[in-house]
Amino acid sequence: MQDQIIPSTLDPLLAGLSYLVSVLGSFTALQFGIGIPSATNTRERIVAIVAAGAVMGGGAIWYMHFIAMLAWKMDMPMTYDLPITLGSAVVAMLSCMAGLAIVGRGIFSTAKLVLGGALMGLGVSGMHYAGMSAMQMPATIDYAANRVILSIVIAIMASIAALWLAFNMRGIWPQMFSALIMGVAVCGMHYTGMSAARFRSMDSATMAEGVSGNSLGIVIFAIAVFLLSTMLVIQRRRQQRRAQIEI
Amino acid sequence: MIDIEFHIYSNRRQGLLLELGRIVMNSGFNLLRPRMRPTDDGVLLTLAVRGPKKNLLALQDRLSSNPLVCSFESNVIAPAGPVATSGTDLIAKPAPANSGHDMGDGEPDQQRVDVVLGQLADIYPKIFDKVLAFERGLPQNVRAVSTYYAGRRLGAWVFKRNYALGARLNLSKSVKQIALPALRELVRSTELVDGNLYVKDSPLCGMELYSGASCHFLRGHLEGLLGESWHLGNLRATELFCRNTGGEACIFAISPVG
Repeated sequence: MQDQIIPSTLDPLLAGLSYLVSVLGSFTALQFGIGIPSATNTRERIVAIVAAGAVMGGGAIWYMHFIAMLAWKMDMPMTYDLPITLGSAVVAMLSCMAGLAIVGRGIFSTAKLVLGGALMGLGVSGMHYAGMSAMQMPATIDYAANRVILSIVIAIMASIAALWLAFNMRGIWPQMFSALIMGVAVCGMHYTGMSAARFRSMDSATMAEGVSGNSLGIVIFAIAVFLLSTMLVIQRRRQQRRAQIEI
Repeated sequence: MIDIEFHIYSNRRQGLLLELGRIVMNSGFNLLRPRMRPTDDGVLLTLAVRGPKKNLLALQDRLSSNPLVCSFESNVIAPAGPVATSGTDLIAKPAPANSGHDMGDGEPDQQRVDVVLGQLADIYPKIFDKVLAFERGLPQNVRAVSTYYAGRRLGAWVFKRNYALGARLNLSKSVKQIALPALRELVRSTELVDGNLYVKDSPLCGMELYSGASCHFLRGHLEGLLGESWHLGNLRATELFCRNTGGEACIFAISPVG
């Protein structure tokens, strides 16, 4: 049994749900994000950056990661180290805030787009690999370096494309398309990263106490409701503001 | 101020008008009416311009050193004054300093503009029947300026409603991402070519309301749309060609003022 590679399967339903969640989170985050350039004062700008980064990092990336981990079935017990798990969320949120702040400030340029997209892509990747290191299980993980690099490249490139669509173009369709692409960035990175991992069993491993993946159901539901209701509130407020604009 | 007509020969049509239009405007002149027709070797571009006499030599120098210009000649039409004296179809009435278009000598009829804007907001983007009725109902001396003003306010309104969210774009990207889709909402055939907006079937042409360019509403609309995005500074929309004066399409160039 020792040093044997542990087989894994993917639950397509949960994998699909993880993509939907990342798209929903991205769309909601971008609704905040595209308000950054039109903020009229520093406070408005900071609120928009923090909200967009928190929803993108926390909802579209971190939350998606744990649904995707539930979708990745392996025949062994598994828990998550709480401090590292929470730290991985902070990594994702801060990098998304930085990326969105750069893209949303001043006149839009290719340099800002690339820098912002790279930060967000690295945030997605950083969150993923930090989240993986939080796993407590009777196994070790080896990574295939070329796929790890590929996963990071996917995250960066797709983030750049998503930001270009969301900030450069106008209207609801580019924003929706942008959210779909950002979902590709997050899920593409995650599943490529998972395919790079080899889990090898360890007989002598001891399981530390941590958060069980099985207890995530209620959290998943709560975050989904939060993302949806936030998005609906933003849309409703914008519709009201549009109606009040005098000609 | 003097009015000059340049006859410019070039072997390249594409981008010629845009390039030379910028030179004219950067030299402190207003472009009154450009016309282009093919010749055996290329094209003949006739540019009627108005500007300060002291800048004329500099303008001629810039034109002669431009690689697109094979040769040119210039004729002084007349000192800029209130009456056309040349016998040509040049617009010779005094235009507002920054527009380069014949706008009449009156102020916009604010009251009528306010009324029509309320109606346009309700029916946007299918507005042209109402715009034309509004334009026809105005006295001649305030027709162009009022229509331009209504277009400008509608443009600002459309920007705030539909285009305010998103990155601050530079001028060329703003034309592509904001002005082009906004104009397409009004006139579907609008295209972007070499940074200029081509409107092939503007409903504002052929109404016999003007002897010169007639798309004052669209010009104002463009200035309102892009001018509302304050980081671009003051902008001017110039109608380089108009179907009302025989052009194949109405062509608009957007340039910064100053």
